[in-house]
Amino acid sequence: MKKEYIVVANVNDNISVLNRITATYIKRHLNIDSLNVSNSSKKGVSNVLISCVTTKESMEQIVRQIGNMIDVLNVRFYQSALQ
Amino acid sequence: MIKGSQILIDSLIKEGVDTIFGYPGGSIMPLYDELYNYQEEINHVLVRHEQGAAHAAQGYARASGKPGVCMATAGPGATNLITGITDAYMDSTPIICITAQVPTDKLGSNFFQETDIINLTLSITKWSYQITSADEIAEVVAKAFHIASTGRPGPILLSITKNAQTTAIPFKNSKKYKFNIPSLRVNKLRSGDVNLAKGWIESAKKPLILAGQGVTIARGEEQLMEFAERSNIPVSVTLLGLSSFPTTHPLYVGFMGMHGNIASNFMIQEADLIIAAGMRFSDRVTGDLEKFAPNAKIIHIDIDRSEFNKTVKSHLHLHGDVAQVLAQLTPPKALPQHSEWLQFMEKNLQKERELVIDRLFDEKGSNKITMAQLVERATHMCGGDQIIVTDVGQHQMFCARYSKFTKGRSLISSGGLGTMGFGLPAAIGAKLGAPDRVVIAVLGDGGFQMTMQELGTIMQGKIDVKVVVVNNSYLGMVRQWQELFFDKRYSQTHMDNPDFTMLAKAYGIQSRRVEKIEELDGALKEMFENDSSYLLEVIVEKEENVFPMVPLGSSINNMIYQ
Repeated sequence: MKKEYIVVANVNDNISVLNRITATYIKRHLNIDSLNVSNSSKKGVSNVLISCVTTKESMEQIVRQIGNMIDVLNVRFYQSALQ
Repeated sequence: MIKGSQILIDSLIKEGVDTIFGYPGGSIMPLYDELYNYQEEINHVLVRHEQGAAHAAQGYARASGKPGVCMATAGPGATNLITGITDAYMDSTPIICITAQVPTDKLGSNFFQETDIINLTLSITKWSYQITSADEIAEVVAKAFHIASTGRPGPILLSITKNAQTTAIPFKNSKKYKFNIPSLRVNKLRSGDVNLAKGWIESAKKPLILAGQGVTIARGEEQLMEFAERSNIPVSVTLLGLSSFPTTHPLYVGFMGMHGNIASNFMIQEADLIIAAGMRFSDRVTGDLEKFAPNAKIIHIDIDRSEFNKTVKSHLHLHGDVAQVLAQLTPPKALPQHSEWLQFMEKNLQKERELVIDRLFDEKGSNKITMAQLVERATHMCGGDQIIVTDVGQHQMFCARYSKFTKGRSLISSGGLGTMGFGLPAAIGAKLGAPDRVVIAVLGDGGFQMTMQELGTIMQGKIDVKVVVVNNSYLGMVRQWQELFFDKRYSQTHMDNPDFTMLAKAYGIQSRRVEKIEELDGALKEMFENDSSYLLEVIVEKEENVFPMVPLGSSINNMIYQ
């Protein structure tokens, strides 16, 4: 069943990291509902928040694939509370 | 003061690079100018199309185990690499692709030969980076090699702007770089997991190992052999796992999946324990996922976490280097034989001989050559010691089914992407990566014509590749599907071909054409005895099919035999 999931990632603050992450969604033909990137408390590290409606299985795979990226320090996902 | 272009080449040499496949052009001219000073240290192989450079780098990497390097200019040079980069991504091949880029201050202006190659390759590279100043070069190159060859290998793209190549900076190339990248970290296995796996292995009645390319990448051929022999477990291989286990070994079951051996597929369906080592359960292996290996507990060993439970759900996954994990699972003393299980294997091997193989090797009826005979004879003549590089299609499946392999890194083929045109340039790279081995490129008439301009590379570089063009004047695999599933409507699969032997002659490559089975051995002998490159055109049965075959989406034991 499809639900809204939020991915939270800490990434190196480098050019193209964001596109590499969003490409994982595009590849699966998923539409991103909201997206936020901001500086974290640590220098050179950004926080990425992405929400998207999909199945839990596809979310698990997306998160594993994002976790494999060289510039991703850590990533996890949550089911949105707003539904 | 040292120019960026020199820093780049020095950094490549520091990583052990001695061969680069490439093609010059506008934005990359400073780098080529510098390369002129390094003709002793670096063998630059001038390909005839950049796609050939990427495939050659793949062939080099797959044969040698070291990252392959290719180089192209901005714009069309870079975009021509894309098929090879994608192929390397699908088949986990470590290659470093260096492409030039327009000057930094012109980025984004549609400058002559500008392409946003970083963006274009985001989803097909393990990592990429655009170098815009000379002082970044040394560290980025070191990082690229570290990433390409650590964990699950993959392609890296480095785009270097023209100004970064030409700027001179004060520089000493003595620094050692260390990288600690979270996504490449591998934790030690939990002893509970190892013990659980060992217990399952000890108590299994019908265990089966599925070996993939991960074994080869981890240089784990010996560990696989030790584990299989000590545990007395038969070994079945994926397409890219071929040659990780000798095809002559009594525990060798065969190749698995859509065109796999009957014994492999039936044993997967019957097994009570599957140890999947460095393989990813691709759709060509599993067929109908719902019905795959219904009776088996599955232990999945892989260096890439994202492969666990992606298609087939495993009961236990062991994240790590396949060679090390197999060594940990190897019992100290030999486990008893599973004689009933081995009888089941023998029964199915016999079934395949009767239903499929004997017919292919029956020479009574016709004197035409079958692809199976060709591949079997060529590899037996080499004692299984050769490297076979294939293109994509029917001949590829015949190579997988009937080649003899006694050594690792002996089958180089485009698996995940299925790239026609891969074979000839990959064979060039393989020969340079393993100069002491015989390299045979087995190509269909269709795939050969996609990259046949690389005969020029063979000519100029005097590269000893034995090219076998298997000619049936058809795009054979598509024609087979049309015959079986599209009512024999052969839409656009017939090909009128040129005289391939004359083409070889034009390039100064010795060549011969054979059509009859009695000529085959003599021609193969002549090819192997010739001490330089050779092109052998083999006219084969026009409408030969690869059997057995599992129809798309079927369970893998639902096989068509003829």
